[in-house]
Amino acid sequence: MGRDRIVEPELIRLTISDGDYIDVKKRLNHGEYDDHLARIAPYQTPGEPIRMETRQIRTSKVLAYLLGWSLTHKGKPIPMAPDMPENARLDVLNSLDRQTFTEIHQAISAHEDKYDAEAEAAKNGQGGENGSSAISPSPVSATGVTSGSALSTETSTPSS
Amino acid sequence: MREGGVTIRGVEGRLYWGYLPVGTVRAWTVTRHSPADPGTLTGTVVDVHPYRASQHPIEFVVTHKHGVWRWPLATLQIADTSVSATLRPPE
Repeated sequence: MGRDRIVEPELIRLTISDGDYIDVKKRLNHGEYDDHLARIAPYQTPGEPIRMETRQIRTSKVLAYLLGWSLTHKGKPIPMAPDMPENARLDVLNSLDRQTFTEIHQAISAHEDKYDAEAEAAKNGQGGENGSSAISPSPVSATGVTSGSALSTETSTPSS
Repeated sequence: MREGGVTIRGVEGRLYWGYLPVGTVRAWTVTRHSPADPGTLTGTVVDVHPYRASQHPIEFVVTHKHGVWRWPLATLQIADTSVSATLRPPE
């Protein structure tokens, strides 16, 4: 039997500095990755060099992966949920301090590199599971409200 | 309703496969006939993604004033704009 080629919409929690966390997609599916590419290279013409929106490269990756977080502002949760319009999510990201955005981007990039390597290993029949498990999907956890269910977490390497 | 039963009604909730929306359930009702009954969900559904609706696990999620209710579904049937589902007991 062939390998399973559907991307399950699983969520992974990555720990960042100061006790905060971000919830991200475990893997992007084709549609999500295409959306990411369309944001960073919207003018691509076959046969011509790729013209990339360099301003959007980091932000687009964060937009593609980020589902929620524990960040607060003035004691209240900062909204970040996949149901929010993309412009609203972008507005929130653009309001972050630069260090926080960089930390989030680095955590997501490290996560992406790890799962890309595992996917490649699995494709080549080398296994590659890291033993970590996805947490219970939480599409509205970004509002800062949790259901109280126990969550297993994956810890990323905090950026320095 | 028999003793121990409960009915909760709401204006709108959403079905999710993981973090992906499956559909929006309007005028929903969750009914449990007894403490041992996991319960059923009924309502009208719009914006359905048929492929996602065929996947597992699916949750019914309702955001309310004080937080979120999250019911995992054991079964899900969508016919035209009607949805009915049996709930799964909490793990």
